[in-house]
Amino acid sequence: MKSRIIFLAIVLAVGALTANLLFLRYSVGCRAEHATITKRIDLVQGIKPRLDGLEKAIWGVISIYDPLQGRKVGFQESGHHQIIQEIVERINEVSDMVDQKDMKLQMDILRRSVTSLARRTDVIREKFELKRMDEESTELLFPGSDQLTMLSESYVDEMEKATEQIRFVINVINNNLDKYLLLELAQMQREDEKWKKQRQGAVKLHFVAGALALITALLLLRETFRLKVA
Amino acid sequence: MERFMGKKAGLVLCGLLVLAFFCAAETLVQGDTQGDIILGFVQVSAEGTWRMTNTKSIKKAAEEAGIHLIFREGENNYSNQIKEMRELIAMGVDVLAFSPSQVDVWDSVLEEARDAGIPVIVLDRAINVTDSSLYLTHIGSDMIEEGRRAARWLLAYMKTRKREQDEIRVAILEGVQGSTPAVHRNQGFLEILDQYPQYKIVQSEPANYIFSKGEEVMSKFLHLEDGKIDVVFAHNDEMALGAIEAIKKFGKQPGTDIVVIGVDAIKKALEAIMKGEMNCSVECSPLLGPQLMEAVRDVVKGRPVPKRVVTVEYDYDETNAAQEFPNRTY
Repeated sequence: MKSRIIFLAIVLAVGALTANLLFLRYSVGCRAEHATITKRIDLVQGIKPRLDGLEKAIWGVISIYDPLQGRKVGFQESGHHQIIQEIVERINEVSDMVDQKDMKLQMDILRRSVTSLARRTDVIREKFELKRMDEESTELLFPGSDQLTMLSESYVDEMEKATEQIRFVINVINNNLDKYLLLELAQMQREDEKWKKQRQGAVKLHFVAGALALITALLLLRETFRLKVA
Repeated sequence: MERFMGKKAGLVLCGLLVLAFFCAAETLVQGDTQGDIILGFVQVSAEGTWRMTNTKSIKKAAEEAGIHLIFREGENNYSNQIKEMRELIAMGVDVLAFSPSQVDVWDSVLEEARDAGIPVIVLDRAINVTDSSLYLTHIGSDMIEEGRRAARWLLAYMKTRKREQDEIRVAILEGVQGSTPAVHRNQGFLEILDQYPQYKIVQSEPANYIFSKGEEVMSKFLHLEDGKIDVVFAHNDEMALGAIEAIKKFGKQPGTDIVVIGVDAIKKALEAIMKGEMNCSVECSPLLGPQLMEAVRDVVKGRPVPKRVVTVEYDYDETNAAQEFPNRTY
């Protein structure tokens, strides 16, 4: 009889230990998941100021004057390529960390939108180069004439249109970033719900295991006393 | 003992298999979006039975085909539609499809799509563009033919009533002004009736495809013409059903005193035909989703697609409406 109770006690102890270990593992996993989500949110939120920076950089080139640098800037100096590269890297990093299909898809849409942005930036760069070459040749052929001013003015509409398109794509990207962040918040909520349920289950399990352990201990104690008396 | 060990080993193996299955299932659920087709679609509006059925058909077909659909809606306004299309172009969708609210105005946005290398599919209504290469294919009904079918049905009907020599006074309830169905259905209808001078168009006005507007405009027509209208041709069934209400309120019998012809062949119209309140509905099927998805797949795979895909449709009157009624889902 005693050996049976001891066996039961061992089974209970091992069971409780395993349950505790599993609970601990899940708790660690849950914290890690939370940390990953937070990291992803930080990465995605970091894209927004970069987009603002890109808009300012392009505007600096269009207006031929960068107030930050206090001088005329060219396309090469604007650093727009580097900004786009940084955005793409962030998107790729987040994409690699994401498991959910809808979130991966949203990242794919963001990646495509940034490609769109890069393409439109290239269009404006080409227009800018063309303008510069036109101005140089006019300056050479008709030095000091009104032709140069007329030529510069002729590019204004085109430049405005191209800049407007860039702003439009930046808006689209910002909207999609917001949509992605909403998906992350929903994911965090789902994780919390899962965690809450798991915790409730674990508390119930511990309560049952504790009760059983107490009964077993009492039985063991009674059996020990009975043997002593005998 | 050996048997017991065998049982134990079996149980452990089963456990491992279940675990392996769940791991595999998780991988499947997580999936990957690489290689997924993204289709951007801009619908005209969310109004009316026909449009809602069309939307449902597109969403269901996309889901079944495993195509990711980004669905947008233009609130019956072409500038909203253009804005949505530009947004989808900026997102770099694989294929852009839209159901145009107007015939013209699409050149510039389609040029943007072409510059971005995005193929365009026109669904349902046709468009007028300076360069037809701006879109890849047009899937939908031949709306000029729909107008012709309505006129041909009317001529045949009047012949059976031995009224082919009588003067027939026709009223038309038009769709949204400038919209493709309104322009094309009118064009086809008049093209046939113009050959018969006894047919007089006494009233024609837009009622914007809406039931209440159809009732309101038809009521106005009846008062203006002192009830002397023989036929009403509505550019869709919703307006035709509205006209039926106006005719009843005016004290006349729709389907008998005034011939009522509609377009779309929605369930309610077939029901009205069965009741004898409506005479004919020319079908214009909204179930274009499967055809659209097939075209999207072909486009993405680089297969050739025909420039025009016309949907097969029928006319419904007292002879066949009851037969079709149980099959109609919209």
